[in-house]
Amino acid sequence: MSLPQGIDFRQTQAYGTGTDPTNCDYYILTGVQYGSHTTAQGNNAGWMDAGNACRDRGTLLDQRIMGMNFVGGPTAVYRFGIDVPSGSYKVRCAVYDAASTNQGQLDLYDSTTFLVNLVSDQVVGLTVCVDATNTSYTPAAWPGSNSLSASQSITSGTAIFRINAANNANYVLAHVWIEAVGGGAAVFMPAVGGSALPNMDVTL
Amino acid sequence: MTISQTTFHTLRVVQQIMGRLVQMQADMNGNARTWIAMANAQNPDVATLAKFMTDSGTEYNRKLAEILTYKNTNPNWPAVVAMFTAMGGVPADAVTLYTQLKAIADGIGSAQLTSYAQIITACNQITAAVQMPDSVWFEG
Repeated sequence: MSLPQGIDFRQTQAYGTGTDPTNCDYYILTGVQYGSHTTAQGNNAGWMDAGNACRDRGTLLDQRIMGMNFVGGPTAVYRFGIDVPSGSYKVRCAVYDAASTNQGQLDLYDSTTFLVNLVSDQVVGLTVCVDATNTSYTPAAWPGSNSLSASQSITSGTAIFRINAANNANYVLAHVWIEAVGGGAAVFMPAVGGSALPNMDVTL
Repeated sequence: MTISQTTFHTLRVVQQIMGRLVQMQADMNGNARTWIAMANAQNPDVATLAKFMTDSGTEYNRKLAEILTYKNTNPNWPAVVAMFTAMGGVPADAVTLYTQLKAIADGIGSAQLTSYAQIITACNQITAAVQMPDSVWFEG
């Protein structure tokens, strides 16, 4: 696992610059992919519930909020899981849709245990981009102004961003981020010493 | 009362294994392309990028090992094979795909990744060996 881990939801990998910030990875998959998907940072991450869809929404914005994922209410729950070692973590988020007003809401769970409400159920989008402290920013201000959540203890091995889609509306999510308290997990030099990659003549 | 193991449950396992293996193929290709872009941009530093890669190799192997553990320890495995066969699948194909993916995952773990050039070389080998899986729409 390499943390921090950011997830930028959009529909097309190459949308915008196509290049996400170092610790962020694009997420364009639909359906249940937790358990199957591995991020470029080496983490197990993905939606745990089916029914999500993704869209590209605006190339003039920060790469992290150019697109979004949306899920439908009412009375539905959608969970996005990221595996992390047991420890203390802070998160960021952008509950936002660059192209339309929609609904937003986001909680953080330690697997099945509720930790904190990050974003209350509210209308978001266009000029309203909400961060992990339930503070609204313009999309131009969000990149430089959004705040980390308060520290939360996660011991189950899985941090879950959970949307409680209570109303009959589409609930949007543009970006999530998790980092270990203290600036993220240590980055160690990998064990090296081999020569060429073995078995690379595999033809699928 | 205990809920009995049914074909619904067996089908779920078949779908999980199929989804995991094919998504891993997509991730190996997609992540390698991301790492090439990072190496070309020389951001992050070599050590961090190398750790992204070796961590991914470890995660690929963890996911593969879970499948092997299920196969070796779960009494429902023969039913999973029978279900897959009834769907028209060829069990040997799963073994072949598993073996090919594991070779790549192991290769990432043992590659020399001490310079951007070495990282690009390794990633080019990955993308040459692992193409994106066939899909109605692009997911990579």
